[in-house]
Amino acid sequence: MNPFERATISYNCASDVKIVRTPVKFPELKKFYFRVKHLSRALGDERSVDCWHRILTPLKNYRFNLCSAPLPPSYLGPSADKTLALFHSAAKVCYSRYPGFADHLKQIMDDLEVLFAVNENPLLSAIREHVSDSRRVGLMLVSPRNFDRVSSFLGNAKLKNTKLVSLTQLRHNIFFDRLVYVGSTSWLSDSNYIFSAPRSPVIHLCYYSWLKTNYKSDPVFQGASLVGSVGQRDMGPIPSDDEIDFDDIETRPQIDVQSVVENKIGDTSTREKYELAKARLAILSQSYGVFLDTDSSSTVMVINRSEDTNRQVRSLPVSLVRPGSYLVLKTSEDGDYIVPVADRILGELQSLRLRNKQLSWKALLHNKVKEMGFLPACLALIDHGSTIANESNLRNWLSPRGIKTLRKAEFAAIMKFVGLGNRTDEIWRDMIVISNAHRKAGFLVKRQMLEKLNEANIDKLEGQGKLTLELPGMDVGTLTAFRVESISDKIVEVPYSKLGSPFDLEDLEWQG
Amino acid sequence: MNEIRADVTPQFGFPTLLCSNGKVWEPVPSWTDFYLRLGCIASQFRSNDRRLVITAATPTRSFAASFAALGVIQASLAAEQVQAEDYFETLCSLEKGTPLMMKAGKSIVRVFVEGTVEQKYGNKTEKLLKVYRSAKKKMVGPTYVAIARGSANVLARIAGDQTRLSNFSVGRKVAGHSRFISEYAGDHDSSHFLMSPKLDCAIVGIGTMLRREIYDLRLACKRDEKISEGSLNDILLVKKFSVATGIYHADVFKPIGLSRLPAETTDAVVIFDGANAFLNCRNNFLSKSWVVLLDRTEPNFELAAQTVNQERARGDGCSNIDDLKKLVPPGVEASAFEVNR
Repeated sequence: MNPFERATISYNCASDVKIVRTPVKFPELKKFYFRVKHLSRALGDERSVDCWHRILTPLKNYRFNLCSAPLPPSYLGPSADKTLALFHSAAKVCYSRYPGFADHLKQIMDDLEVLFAVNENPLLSAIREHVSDSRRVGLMLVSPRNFDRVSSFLGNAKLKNTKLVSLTQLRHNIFFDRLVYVGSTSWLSDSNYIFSAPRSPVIHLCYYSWLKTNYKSDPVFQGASLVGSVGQRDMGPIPSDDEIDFDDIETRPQIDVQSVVENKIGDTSTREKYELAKARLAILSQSYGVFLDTDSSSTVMVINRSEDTNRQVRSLPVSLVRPGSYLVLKTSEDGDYIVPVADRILGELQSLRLRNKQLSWKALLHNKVKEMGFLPACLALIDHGSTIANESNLRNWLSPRGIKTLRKAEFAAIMKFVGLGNRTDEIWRDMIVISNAHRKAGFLVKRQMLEKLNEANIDKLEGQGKLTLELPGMDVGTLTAFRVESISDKIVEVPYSKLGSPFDLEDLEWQG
Repeated sequence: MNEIRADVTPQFGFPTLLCSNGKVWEPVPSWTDFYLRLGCIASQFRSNDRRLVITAATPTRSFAASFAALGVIQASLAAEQVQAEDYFETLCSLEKGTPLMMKAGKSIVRVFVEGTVEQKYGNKTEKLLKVYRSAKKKMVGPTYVAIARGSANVLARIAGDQTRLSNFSVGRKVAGHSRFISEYAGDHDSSHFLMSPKLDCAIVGIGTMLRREIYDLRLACKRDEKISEGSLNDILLVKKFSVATGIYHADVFKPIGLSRLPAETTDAVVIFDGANAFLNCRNNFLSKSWVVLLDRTEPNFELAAQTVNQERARGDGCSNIDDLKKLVPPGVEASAFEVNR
């Protein structure tokens, strides 16, 4: 197939697409679904109290997993009993503190016991019915975290013609005879392209009957526009033969930036300004998050699959990181992965000597800024010959990640300011040595990463949005490539040590 | 050997390009016509104080920008013909000693304007432009060449980045402009086009992807039952992909915010290949007409579409592209408006 033919299929699918709704009934799950919802609503703000949070989070996760993937309710397998026991023990605390909700919670526990015993999956039967006559079927999952679980389950269910596909993979020109989506269309608010740029002429929506399924294609551009022929643009009214949860968007995990800052960073009001960097929260696949520096000079290692093989790993300014990019982050422990490699290039003795120098001028600058404050420090730097001293640049110079300034004149101003004016040349030379070692280290890490990427299962990266990369002999710990799902607009202040270190968000997904 | 399967249907005076399916050459799909026409419309838009913005939301990015660029170049090639009549007179009006490039066989050499002469053919008098080439050896005088009106296209003005062109007779080799462009251009005289570097079209997008479409992919065109093979780059002459010749009519710019057109570029059309290219770089190309191609599957599609709508709100009503109506491919939405430069 030549590349024109592939593109032509995209246009043909757009012109022919037919969207088929298949509601599935499952009374036991429905009871559980609405009971959890009502309890959460009834609790109001109390739901973020620790004892409720500890029980509601796993309940909501379980509910979402069942509604967004064709998993049997008993998917927890042997660990179900243990999970149930944990629920019961957590529930006891809630019973004693909130007796008014005890009956409601007991009913939920009963529902759970019933569900844990169900091995059949009604969604799977519906899917099987639709796909039996097709050669190539794509099963779309809204959340990548169930990818492995569903994958093994599909193998057992003998759906050999069915391939699991993430929403991200459907951005490429890959095509199926049929696509099956499991869940509510409310969860696709940022992925409407599966309908407007379909990769199959038929899309089946398999969903539990109380979930909302709707899609209407509105013009993208304001004012007069020309629109080419399209298949089904409107699914019509939502079937009303069942109780519909019109707020089912709430049943998808959501992240509240403020709760993440409070939980992962804590109170920053007691910290000094120079200890904090301005950052944005990036939500990564598989329920991870990372704070990215907002400074224009900050860079991050990214994987770009659309580039040629030898250019797929590169440093990119953080400001250019967009949803869909793959970030490479260190996951084994905190810290930068370039520094240990650079230190090895420098050699033990030299790295110790040079790093001490780097630390010492930064410590002196810290002390000065702490003593004077940001604005007077900037003014003093200008007096010493700096032309670019301002709060943002001063933050960079204070950052442990910064090595030197771009121009020597600026560095000389800093040295004079901290009382090292007579050693400017010597320290500048040493900082250039560190900087060069960092550049070499970056190159080495990139090269190894490219080799690893060539060996890696790229389907896994695109499907699950996460891929672990071990670089043997590099002593950089474990690196993981994460897909960026979204980036918050809100700018928050976080300690420098928290920048670029990914953290698990699963326990915070239901805070909002 | 590939066989010919389909007849070539000329469009805009140029033949339809053919692509191979491994066995036969067949016309490129009809949806490419839409992007060709977008490029043409943007290129033909002329206004001192306004510029045109054409946007399209597409189900895939594949080939959209490349064919829009081809549309720009088609318009540019066609415009060359209109200007050819005036071109000879322009050259004649140059001061004595003005350096020019002259195509001589497969080489380009530097020549200098000497002046005009008149030659009599029976009752008719023809004006000729006399140019001379410096000799390699000082002992030998310069070589004079008289250029007729109809051959003026072998001469071209020297662009700023070609001042190092050899003064001497050997000149430099022109690294094989393929026969493909001559065949593709047909009645349109491509000689001047192939000698004069000028940025008609700037594509802002990921170089690797564009290279695969423009440089790597083999295409063909058919004229008088003869097939000529080449690539889109033989026609677009992308500066980034055609370093050897020094002749370009398009270029690819990275979608990372710092890309800018050379200051002397006046009427180039800027094609944004995707949401990121548009969001990151649009402010660098504010004075040019734009073709904004947004792939619906891109993560920033919605944001880019909103940004287009904001640009439109600042503009002054819509621009008529109704003649594109029949060409809009399935799943594509297109719109156009004018804004102040």
